[in-house]
Amino acid sequence: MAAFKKKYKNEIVAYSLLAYPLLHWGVFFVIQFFRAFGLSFTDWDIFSEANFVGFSNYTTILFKDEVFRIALINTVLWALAMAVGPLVIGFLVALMVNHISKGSVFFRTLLYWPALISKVVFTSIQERIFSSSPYGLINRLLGLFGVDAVAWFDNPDIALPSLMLWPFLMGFSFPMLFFLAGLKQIPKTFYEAAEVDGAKKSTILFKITLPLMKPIIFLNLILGMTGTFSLTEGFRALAPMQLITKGGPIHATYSVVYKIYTDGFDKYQMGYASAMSFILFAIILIMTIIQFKIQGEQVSYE
Amino acid sequence: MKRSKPTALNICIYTLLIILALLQIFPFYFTIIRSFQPESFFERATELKFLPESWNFENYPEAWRRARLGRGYLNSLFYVSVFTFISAMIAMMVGYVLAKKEFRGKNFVFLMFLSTLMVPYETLLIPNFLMARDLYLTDKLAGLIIPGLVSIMGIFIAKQFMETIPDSIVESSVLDGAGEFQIFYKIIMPMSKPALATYCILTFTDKWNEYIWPLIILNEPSKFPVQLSLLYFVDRHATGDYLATLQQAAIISTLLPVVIIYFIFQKKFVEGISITGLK
Repeated sequence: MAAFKKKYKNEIVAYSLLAYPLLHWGVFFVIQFFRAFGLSFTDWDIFSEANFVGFSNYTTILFKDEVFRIALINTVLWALAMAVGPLVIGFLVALMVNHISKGSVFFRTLLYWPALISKVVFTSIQERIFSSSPYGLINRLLGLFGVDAVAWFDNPDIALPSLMLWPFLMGFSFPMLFFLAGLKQIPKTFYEAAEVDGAKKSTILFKITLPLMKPIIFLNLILGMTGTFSLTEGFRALAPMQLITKGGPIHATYSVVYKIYTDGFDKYQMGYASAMSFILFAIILIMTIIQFKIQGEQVSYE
Repeated sequence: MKRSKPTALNICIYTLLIILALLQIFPFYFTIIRSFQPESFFERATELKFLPESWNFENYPEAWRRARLGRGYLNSLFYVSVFTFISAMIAMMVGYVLAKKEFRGKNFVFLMFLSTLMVPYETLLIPNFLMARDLYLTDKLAGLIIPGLVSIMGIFIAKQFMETIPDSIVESSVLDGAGEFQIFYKIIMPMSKPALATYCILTFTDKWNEYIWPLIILNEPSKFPVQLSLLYFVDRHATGDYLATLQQAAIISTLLPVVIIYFIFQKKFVEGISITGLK
């Protein structure tokens, strides 16, 4: 026994410290993950017994569920928009804030803080700006120029782009801060050397700043290790659909997660909603693997 | 290398930044203005009001009463603080073990934890709800605290940071006869303050702003956190009863803690981003 204790001394200490976290994680993550997977093959609705239905949930979702099809297209469009807008605008704003010598802390503070407000607040403000009535902020501005009120969220044809517009333009706060942190890490000597050589501003941007920022862009934004911002984030859009449009008008603004939410918690189709959760998981997983594969080389040179 | 001359480029940049800042600020400005308007307030469609007609401070107590914001504040402050504290302790401890201990299976444990990040939170909404129901955690503040206590993000931040603490410091205190917990509390914790602060600030604001999970497991209004109290107005809106001025007052009220924390710790935020992302 003593010999055993001596041989495994490190393991005993380490695992006794890790015991509770591992147990907690096992109960609230691992078990739940497999439970959801199991549920996705049943027709469970909370009230009656669950029946095993094989892959029928999956085939129904993928081939027959018209609302899911709309929700999936909307989600892909949303994810693309949220990947491009906040990323590009965030990078440009970071370059600008980094460039100016006076007031850069002021602008950084001012431009970052909207990232801290809750989705509930963000969406109610968004709703007021784009309200379809003549009293919405933008409609009122248009009214000043004699333009008729636009039905933003109430017109099925433009509801989704309208819903995207504000987060697309204003979602740059978090990426901006990431990029700023990255820009600060590029040694000043690189720029000084380039300036001595008489390089143009655009040359410096494309030959020094962008190449050196690559690992930071890929590591932090695309892989999104902390989960706060990543390219797959847009696939999880829920709040604007849930709090502003309720997926309407006529399902025009459903997202996959909002569909999971309504099928699961409003209609209690737990099995069906679980299957949809795993389709979402598969999509995000595939996206992540592709990103790892494509960006693998660039990441390694940091 | 000082670029303080007003070049054309600089003027463009300042103009753009000011426009962006105004775009960010104006919605909040209008929200504040509106929160002071009388309840009967009704603007003409082609008007933009930059100043309130009168200062109706009584909108604030009225909004608090209607949406039970006082209760919401207490609930939120309680559960967010408890969650932040306990999850931070767990994250620091696990981070310490993974960063500074040598044992078999270490990489496996870390990889397993990390793999959790691949699974979107939404995939687990349904089983987590069922779990909370099975454990009688619905309609309880404990239900908001317990499920997420092992924060992978926190573990990741703690581990990354603690790896920069030299092993020699830990080794020399072992030689001085310090016990496991002494090393953790007297040496590792004080040295990891930046990581701890980062995690706490990020988690506090995240939890303060969270609404999906509370919405799923809470039905009892006396247990609502502030975000659900705010939804009271959204629901009233849906039924056609639009309490616009009160809603604005409530929104402004709930921003306060996050704004205070941000402006006090805003340097820490920036440091935190570098710690979580770049090391």
